[in-house]
Amino acid sequence: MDSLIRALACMAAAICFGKLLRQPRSTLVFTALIGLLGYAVYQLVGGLLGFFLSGLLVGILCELTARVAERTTTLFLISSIIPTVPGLGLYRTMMALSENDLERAGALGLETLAGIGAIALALTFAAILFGSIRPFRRIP
Amino acid sequence: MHALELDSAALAAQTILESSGETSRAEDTALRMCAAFQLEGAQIMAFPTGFMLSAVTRDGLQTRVFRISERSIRLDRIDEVNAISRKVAKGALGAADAWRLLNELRARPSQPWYLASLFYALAAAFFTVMFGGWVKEFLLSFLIGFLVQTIQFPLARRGVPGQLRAFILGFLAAALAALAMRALPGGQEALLTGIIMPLLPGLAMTNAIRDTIRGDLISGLARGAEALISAVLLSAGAAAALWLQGMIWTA
Repeated sequence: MDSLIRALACMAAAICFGKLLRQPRSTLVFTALIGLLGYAVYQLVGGLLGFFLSGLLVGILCELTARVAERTTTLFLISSIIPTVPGLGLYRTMMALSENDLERAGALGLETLAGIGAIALALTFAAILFGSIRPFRRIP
Repeated sequence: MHALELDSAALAAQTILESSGETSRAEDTALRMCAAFQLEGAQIMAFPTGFMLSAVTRDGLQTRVFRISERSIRLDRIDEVNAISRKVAKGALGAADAWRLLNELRARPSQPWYLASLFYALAAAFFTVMFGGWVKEFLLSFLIGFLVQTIQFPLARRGVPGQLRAFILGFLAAALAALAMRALPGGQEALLTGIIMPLLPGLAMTNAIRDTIRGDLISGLARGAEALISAVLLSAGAAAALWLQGMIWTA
């Protein structure tokens, strides 16, 4: 029951965040579902590997959806990845900072940064897989 | 001296950069439009903060230089410019029509403040539940989220730079969350994390990586710095508020 409510909240949050960034209405359903899948993978796996796998799944699904819908990947990526972004890690870092516990703040901050790096790396892998990042070329 | 072809390609690139689109997308779009309009020797050099576009038009070699000073995230605009440039590339849209459509798109009013605040508040409230909050935290998160987004508009209008806004908003969010938790004890972790989630620079981070991998090193570094600075300032603001409340309540 508890995880069902969390899952619904995750999808609702992704939709509202998409509306805030003026995401077109027809794309909201997809980003909510992809966002939930990514968050579920992170919850199941956990840790740095969880961030990486979640980012990889979200990246691949967004690239696929964008190809099918003939729209840009960015449109799908942002609100799909937001539930996985390590907000809790950032909060705990801030708490440690405000309590002047620099050692813990440093460790937590580094962990959060590594999580963000893992997500970014995974998204990049997905983009390269689909050839959506090409080196600069002249268009004839 | 009128080159509507070059001007509409430049307007497309300008709109993409102002809506926080990738630098590579702005470059690609402008070059594709130039190619479709049969402008020879088109060259573009774009950064998150401006671009230069030149091509040979009927009146000879012409250049457009644009400075992008204010950027906001507008996914709808990125999407629509993409649709327009696709039509242009297929030859279904002439320069005059593209120019008119782009100007119409730019003139369209943005979301009214209360809608933006409402969506921010709802997103924050649902994130709070996702992090383990319950009815009380949901309602508090909604109220504080609404205030945090609403205060952005007067700050932006007064020309407070975006990075400084992150500090102020982080401070405000944490101070209000801490106060609310004093009055009604509960899950402060879920509450504050939910409120600041929509403020995290997710798009800047993603674009920074994409730009860097593609070889747009200057854009990648600029966006990376933007993401890092706003995340650090946001946390610094929140940490300052939490530190202050710790001082006040233990004294």
